Amino acid sequence: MEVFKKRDFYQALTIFIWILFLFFTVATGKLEMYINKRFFPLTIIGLLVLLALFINKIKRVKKEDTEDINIQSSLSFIALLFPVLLAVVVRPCSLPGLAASKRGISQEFAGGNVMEILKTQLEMEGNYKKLNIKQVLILAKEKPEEIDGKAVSVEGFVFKQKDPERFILVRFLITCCAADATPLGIDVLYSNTRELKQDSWVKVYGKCRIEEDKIIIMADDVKETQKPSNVYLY
Amino acid sequence: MSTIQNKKENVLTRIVLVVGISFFLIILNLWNSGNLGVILQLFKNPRIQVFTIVVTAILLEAIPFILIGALLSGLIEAFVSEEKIRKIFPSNRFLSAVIGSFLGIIFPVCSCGNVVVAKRLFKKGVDTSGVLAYMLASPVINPITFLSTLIAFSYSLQIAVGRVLITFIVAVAISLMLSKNKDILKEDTVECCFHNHNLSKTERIFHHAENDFLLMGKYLVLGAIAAGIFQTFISREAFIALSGNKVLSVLLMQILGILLSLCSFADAFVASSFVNMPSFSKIAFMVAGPMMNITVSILYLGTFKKRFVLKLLISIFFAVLILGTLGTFTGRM
Repeated sequence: MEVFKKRDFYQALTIFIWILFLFFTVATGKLEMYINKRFFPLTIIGLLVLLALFINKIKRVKKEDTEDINIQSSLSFIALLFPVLLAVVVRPCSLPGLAASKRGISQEFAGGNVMEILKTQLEMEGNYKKLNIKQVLILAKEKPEEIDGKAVSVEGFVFKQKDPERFILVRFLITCCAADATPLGIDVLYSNTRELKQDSWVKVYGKCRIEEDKIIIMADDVKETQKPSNVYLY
Repeated sequence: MSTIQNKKENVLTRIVLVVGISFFLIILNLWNSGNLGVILQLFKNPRIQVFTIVVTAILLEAIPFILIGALLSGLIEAFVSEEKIRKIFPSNRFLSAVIGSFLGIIFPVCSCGNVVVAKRLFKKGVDTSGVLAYMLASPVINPITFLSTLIAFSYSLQIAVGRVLITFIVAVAISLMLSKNKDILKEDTVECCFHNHNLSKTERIFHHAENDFLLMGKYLVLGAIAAGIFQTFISREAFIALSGNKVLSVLLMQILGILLSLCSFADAFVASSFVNMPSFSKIAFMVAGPMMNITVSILYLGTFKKRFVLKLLISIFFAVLILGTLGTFTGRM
């Protein structure tokens, strides 16, 4: 029981819990919900550093007499444990529409290569060209003639406002992590908007129209769909 | 004195334990009575979901940087002598600050990681101006941030260079102004190594890295929680709508940069989405954010004495505000 009074025990436990947390976040694919894929190698490096710290800690604890736990180290233990507990207990799914309304839905964003989209052999769904929200917005900004009047199918989640015949199709674009996620949105004109559930994932089939530099989709049909495995755009 | 301190700590430790155990018993009781579902339903609340995602995302992104910073700091401690470091930073304070400002080009560690490295440099006795300039400027003056700013603003060299220039001026001016403060490190960050002389170099590196991770990790969590609260409850658009004129736009964008606590590698993409704001207010957002956002400010509080942190934050705030305002009135951007 003496070990439970030792500061090093709690420090080793903190490091171990973080190793487990990082490992399971990576292994279960949940990491995609929090950070951009290109930062995954950094997470792996972090995991390896933590593992090295843990092994070193265990070796040292065996060698030395360690001090008893004090308030400083117990608070440190609680602080570092809190986010792990929060993530495990809350088990978040993806950023909801609330985050979109707090951040402000935008059609403006940087980056994106219009030529790349034009060169790509895009998949077709019947008469509709399958595009994502980012591709639609890039085309609308850089080559409006390529998208105006075209039939497209676009996936996203529903963000309803007061107008019963219109909603915004939203998808988050992330650069580094969910903290910087920018909600990109396209206005959709759809007579049965009332029947759609806020935050539900849908596929919109319709014709694009550019009005005063803003793109709108005149929906022919809106179908409920499964949430994609990766909810973000990069 | 130490007995009183010990007694106080014992009481506090017991309080922490009692609160923890009570919390556990409450959860157990709810589970036993079948009411745990009510609590679990509460977790589905969008606000709690956003808060959890933002806090976890900031930590998952920043902790590898803190660990890399901690490892780098351990390597400096074990392998780089004080003499060698002093050779990098000249004795002239201005030159030292200039060199410090550009060190991020070689060590592009983001703001969370470089506070750890800066602390180690301070402990090695490097001149305050050089380390301060490094700590303030390196999150912005490095190739990754420069490139991301260029991409975010459709390859506008004016914005990317303007950001670097203002960061450089602020970092050098503040580090010169505050370099007379010598005893700035908080006492609990000064490690006691008397019982570690028998450690090998590798063990020493990991020992220092572990200390840095546990110490800074705790402050990082507090910073992430503060940023999470802001991102969950305050609307960015409503906040920006308050800006009525150029000065206010700089002030509000600067405050927004501080409150959002974004990584310097990504903040340009968020700044560029505020299409109706003047360019210099976006630069103020991208300069003040990496230098003094909530997360970094709390890390400063964990590293330096409160008085020094206060001076540092006030100086950065007004320096960015003045330069940003001057820019909006005189610049063409």
